[in-house]
Amino acid sequence: MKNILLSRWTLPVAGLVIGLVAVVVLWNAVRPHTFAGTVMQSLQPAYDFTLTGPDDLPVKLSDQHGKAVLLFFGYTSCPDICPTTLYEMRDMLDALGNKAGAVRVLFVSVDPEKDTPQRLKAFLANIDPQGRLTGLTGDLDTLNEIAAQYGIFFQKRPYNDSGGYLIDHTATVLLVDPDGYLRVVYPYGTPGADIAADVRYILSH
Amino acid sequence: MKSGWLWKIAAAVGGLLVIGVLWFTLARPVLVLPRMRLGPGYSLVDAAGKTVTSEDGRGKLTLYTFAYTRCAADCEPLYQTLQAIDSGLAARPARVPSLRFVTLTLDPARDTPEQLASFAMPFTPRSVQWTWLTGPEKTLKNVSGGAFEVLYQPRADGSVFFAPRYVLVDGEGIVRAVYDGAELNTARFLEQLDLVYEEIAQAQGAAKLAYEAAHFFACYPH
Repeated sequence: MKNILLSRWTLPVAGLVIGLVAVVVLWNAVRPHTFAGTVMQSLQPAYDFTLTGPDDLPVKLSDQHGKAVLLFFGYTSCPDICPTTLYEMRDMLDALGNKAGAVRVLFVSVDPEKDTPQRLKAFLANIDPQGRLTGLTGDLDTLNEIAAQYGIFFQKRPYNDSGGYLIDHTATVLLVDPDGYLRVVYPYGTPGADIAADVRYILSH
Repeated sequence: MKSGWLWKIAAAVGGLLVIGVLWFTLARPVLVLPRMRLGPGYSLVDAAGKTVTSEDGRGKLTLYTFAYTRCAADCEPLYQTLQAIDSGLAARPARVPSLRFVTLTLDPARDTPEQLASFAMPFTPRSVQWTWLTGPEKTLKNVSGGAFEVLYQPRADGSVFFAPRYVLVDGEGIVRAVYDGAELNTARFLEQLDLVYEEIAQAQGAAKLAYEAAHFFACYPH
């Protein structure tokens, strides 16, 4: 009796299990990647710019073709948002492992008065001792032009009479794909691991 | 035998997925406006001299236009279009977030906050907040000429030549539609605005996936 039951149910159950596994495998193979940020359908390459990088050497966005570029605008005296985001960028690079070489993180200063290339380098080395974060600066006019193109607002906000100031700024992180197109916009607070998953997807497609 | 079952099931599932994708791209059950580019970041001032930044547009829908207060007849079609949109919105139930109009001056040297404050608005909006913004010439050049790609050129007589443009920016600061020309088909604009509203309303759960798929498969209105 037992053997009859087994023989009656074995095939349908096995078929059902195999079918479910097939559905899961196929769905994982064909489903679109779910991005952690807002995906853009950019028709034109991202706005190109040249700024001053480490050791006073020029860094041009379009020279990064073939790499995924993460752009973030901030400043070294920024009390919270910038360090938090940069630690997420470091975590993202860690999560990418050997793929991190195909990624460039560019931190564009919105405080050209204070943020020299040397200061930026020292600040970023504190966050990522492996030196994978690149600080960029330039003159205020150039930074205004670039920021406007990338939807970044920034404005100095004095907080005392002795010249102390903060800079209010947009805190989005922007992902430019290896072909030079703006692909994803991340709100402040997006975990580095989630961005790493997106970058991994973009690098493999 | 088992292997045969597996292939049949896999083929059936694969076939259904292909049919599903084809149906989605051809029947286009979900339409979206593309996320074209980022709207500009800026800090400008309004007629009251109050600072208004691009961040103030977070979570709102904004229709940007470009004009100057002494524009007179050249700007009539623009004002009529904005009035028609405002009337169209006033005639139907309010939706969240409400649309706002932001007009960036093309003549910042003359359009000071005081000039904006004394400017007799061509109509009083019933449902839309309408703000004129001015600021340093360089900033406006970066914003209007640079990021919004509006063609404009001051003339010797003090007027400004410009190619009229309307730009719809969503609450994430992303340009969703650009309309060139002085006159905008109001009915078409309101239909497209509804697509953005629908997307905002459906931005949760499985529906969000359908909207992302619509972006992926470029299901845009004709």
